[in-house]
Amino acid sequence: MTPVLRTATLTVNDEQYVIECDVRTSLLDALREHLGLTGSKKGCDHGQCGACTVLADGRRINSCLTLAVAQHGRPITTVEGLARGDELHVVQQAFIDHDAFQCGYCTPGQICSAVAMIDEAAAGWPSAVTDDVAGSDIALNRDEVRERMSGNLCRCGAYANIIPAVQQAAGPGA
Amino acid sequence: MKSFAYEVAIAVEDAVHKLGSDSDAALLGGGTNLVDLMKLGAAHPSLLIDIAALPPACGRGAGRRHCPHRGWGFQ
Repeated sequence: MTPVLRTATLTVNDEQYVIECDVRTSLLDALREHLGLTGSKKGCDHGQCGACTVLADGRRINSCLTLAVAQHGRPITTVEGLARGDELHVVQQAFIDHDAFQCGYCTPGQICSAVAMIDEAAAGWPSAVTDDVAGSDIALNRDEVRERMSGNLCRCGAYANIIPAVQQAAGPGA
Repeated sequence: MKSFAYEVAIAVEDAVHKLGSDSDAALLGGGTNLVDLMKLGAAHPSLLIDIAALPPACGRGAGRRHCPHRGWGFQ
C-alpha cells in the first residue's frame, strides 16, 4: 500500500499547527520532527518507558502510541507548555528543589505525568494501592506516588527524589 | 509499520458500516495496544476506523457527546 498523507490540525500548548504527515506518524514524531518541540523524548517508542508522556485534554498519554492524525483538534500540552513565561510550573520547580533527576532524559515525561497524576488524585480517582476506592480524599503518600508514577521509568534511578518532588508539588493537603 | 487508510467514524452506525466494508479493518480507540502491535508488524490492518470521539453506548459517559476542544460534556 502506498503511503497515505493526511493534513492534521494539532493544538499544542495553545497554538495551532497544520501539518501534512503520513498517517503512520506518531504524535511524538509529529511534535519532535514536524513542530520542533523536542522536549518530549523518545525512549522505547513502545509505550513502556513514559519518556514521551504528554497531556491530551489534560490527561496523560504516551505520545509514541497515539497517531498524530488521531489527535486532530485535541488540546495537547507538552513540557514546553507548562511554564508561564519565566514562572515555572509547581511540578517543574519541585523537581529542581528536590534534584529529582540525573541525566534528565525521562524528566519531561515524569513532569507531565506528575501534573496529570496530581489532578487525577485530587479528582478522587483511586489507584491499585488505594485502600478506600470509594473515598474521595486521596493522600498522595509514598506508595500512591510510586504506583501512580509507575508508567515513567528512570534509568538513573532518581525515584528517591522524584517521589518527594511530586509530593511537594501536590501540596500539604495531598 | 505498513501503511493503512485512516477514517474517522462520525457515529456508531458509521463505524459499523466502515468495519463491514473492509475485512482487514480495525477500530482505533486510544491506540495503546493496536499501534504498538502495528509497530511490531504483529497487526497490519488496511483500514483504521477512529472511534475515539464516539459517545459510549453504555457505561461511563453514555448519552454524552465528545467535543474535541472541551472533552466529554452533556448534550
